[in-house]
Amino acid sequence: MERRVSVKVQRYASNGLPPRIEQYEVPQKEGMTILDALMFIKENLDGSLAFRASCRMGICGSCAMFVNGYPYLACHTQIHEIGKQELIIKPLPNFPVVKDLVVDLSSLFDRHRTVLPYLIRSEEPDDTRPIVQRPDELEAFLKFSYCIKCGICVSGCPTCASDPTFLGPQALAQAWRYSADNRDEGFAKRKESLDRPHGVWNCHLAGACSEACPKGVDPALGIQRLKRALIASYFGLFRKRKATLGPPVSWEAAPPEGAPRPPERTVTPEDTSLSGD
Amino acid sequence: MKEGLGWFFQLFTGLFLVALLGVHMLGMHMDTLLPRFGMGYKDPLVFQEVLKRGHAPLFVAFYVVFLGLALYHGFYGLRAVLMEVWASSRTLSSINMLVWSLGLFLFFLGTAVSVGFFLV
Repeated sequence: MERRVSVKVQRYASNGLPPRIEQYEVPQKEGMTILDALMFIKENLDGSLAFRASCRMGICGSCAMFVNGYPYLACHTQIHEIGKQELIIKPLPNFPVVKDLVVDLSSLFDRHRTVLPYLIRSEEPDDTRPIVQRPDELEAFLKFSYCIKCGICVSGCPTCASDPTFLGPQALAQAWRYSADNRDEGFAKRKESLDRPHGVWNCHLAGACSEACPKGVDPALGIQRLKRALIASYFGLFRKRKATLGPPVSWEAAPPEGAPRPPERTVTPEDTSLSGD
Repeated sequence: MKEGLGWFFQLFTGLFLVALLGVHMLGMHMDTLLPRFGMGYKDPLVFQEVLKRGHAPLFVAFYVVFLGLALYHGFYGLRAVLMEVWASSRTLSSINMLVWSLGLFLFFLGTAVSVGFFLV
């Protein structure tokens, strides 16, 4: 007998009418994800259902949604993981709803921008000299660089639920990701957006962000390290090893003996229509 | 004051409160325990003993410090709650003023009672 799963989806159309729940019956196949179920509904039962998805492999962060009271990446979660034959799917909390399961993530990206999420260097980069980074220096920030900006941590954060001006776990974890990087010299600039009311100090360490994060980023840990670094910086104690530049690399030089060579060209630009004519 | 220093001071006062509350609990409410080690008071809640402590400079200093740290710790927490409930940059100065004025009023009131009793 065919196994079926009941999928209840919150529908909302920004037209002033209150949200409503619609129920669909979906045949459940082995390994079926929540996103597969939504695709089935859209293709076979109701083409008007709106949801966001792109990569289907937990990389793009588009398909985050609230399933049976917990935030998940729909493409990354199989139906059997939920452990119920009834799924109640709602849009992510703590974000305004645009339509059905599509939320407006612009506040997430705005807050992300305020913490200057990029490497800030005091000198102009020298393309011929790579920056040396030891494995332990990479480890200091690697876990925090896995963030895919899906918004799940913000949707789980109780402080974000009550304080929309709070920077939120995503932005704060990214502030630490760059501040912990030994190539970065922008901590002093970043402090302006962190060390203020509704900044890093409003995190009360509920830990919901780390529990919900589908990529194992652990924003709560990043935020605590950020707090420690800020307090240490008041007393001039925040230090990290300054990145050094490696020896100049000559791109023209022949590779050393025994080094692997790139494959030889089998198609030249002249052979293709991309050659310019 | 820098926002982070306020937060750090709350951590700091929290640690002190644990220590001071420990002293208070041991001295006042575990009064059968300390006399076994030759310390503390017998019957610390008897009125005569309360009067004695009220006239001891060390105890008065203890009360004032305890009061100040407890008020700071509690009112900083209250400020964090109010900042979340009324999350707006416009309300921040009002919240700060409310919390500081109420905290300082209670601190001076408590200090006046302790010091006034000491001077009588």
